[in-house]
Amino acid sequence: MLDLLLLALNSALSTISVILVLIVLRELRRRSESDLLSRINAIKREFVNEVKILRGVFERVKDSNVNVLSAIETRLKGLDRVMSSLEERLNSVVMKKSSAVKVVDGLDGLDCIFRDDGLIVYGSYDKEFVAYVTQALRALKDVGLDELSVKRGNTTVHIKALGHRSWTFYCLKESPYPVRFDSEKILKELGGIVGQ
Amino acid sequence: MASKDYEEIIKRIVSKSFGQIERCVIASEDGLPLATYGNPDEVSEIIAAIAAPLFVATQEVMKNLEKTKVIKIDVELTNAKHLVIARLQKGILALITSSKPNLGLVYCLIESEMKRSETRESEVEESEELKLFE
Repeated sequence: MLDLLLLALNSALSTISVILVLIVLRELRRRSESDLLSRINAIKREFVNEVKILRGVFERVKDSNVNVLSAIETRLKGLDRVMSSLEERLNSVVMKKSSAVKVVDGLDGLDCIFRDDGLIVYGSYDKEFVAYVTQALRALKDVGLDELSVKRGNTTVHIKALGHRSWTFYCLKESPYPVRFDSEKILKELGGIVGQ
Repeated sequence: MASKDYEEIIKRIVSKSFGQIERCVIASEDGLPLATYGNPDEVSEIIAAIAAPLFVATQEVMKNLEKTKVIKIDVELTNAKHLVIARLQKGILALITSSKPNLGLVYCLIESEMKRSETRESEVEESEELKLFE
């Protein structure tokens, strides 16, 4: 923007200079020496005045542009502040969400239920994973294991023992959030499927 | 498939089973053991002799009745052990598990060997076809 202004200023000054030279040459032909000098002085004053006016115009334009730029800068700073406060709020919401415990109180919320012989009796999940987890659960059973969480890639696999009947059942849910199982409700629903 | 390959299969299955497999045999369709794991050998011979005809007979019956193939046969024993029989391409795999086994793991090991032998078999067929063309 300022480059354009300077270019325009240069062009205006060049034009005025050319006009001035033409006027002086014309007056040289028409007038006597004393008249000529006074006339040249008058023209010089006019020229200086014109340049002063032009300069004033350009300075006002420049000032207004500077004002616009500073206004934009102030606005941008304001936007930055709004953005950072929004980001903070969103982060706090995400933190609250991620720390919220998901309650699973029915079969619908589960990925699968498997027995302690490694066979899936409800739902579906990676069979190989279930087989090896069963092996680990068997090893940890003697130390009173009730729940187990296994980090797997970006998510966590949550497993909970569902009491003892003829089989020990385990419910499994893959979730990035903490999970709490309502064993009683799950077992009640499961009873209708696999028998008491 | 050579006898060495069968021994490799048995070695892989048993080593990954965390002690869930007590005895493992690969037998020919007529019941002769090709490779075995577990002592004494006589018991493995008996298992091979009953498992292979059992699987082949079941396969034949199911082919006629349901027009389908048998993947594996699981026989539950009163001592909480299992006799699991499956086809492994040209052989029959039979194994006796420990008491109250992790069946999920046993099945996974069998299925992974079945897939491996299928892949191997198709590779062998392809190379034989290429030889014929040459």
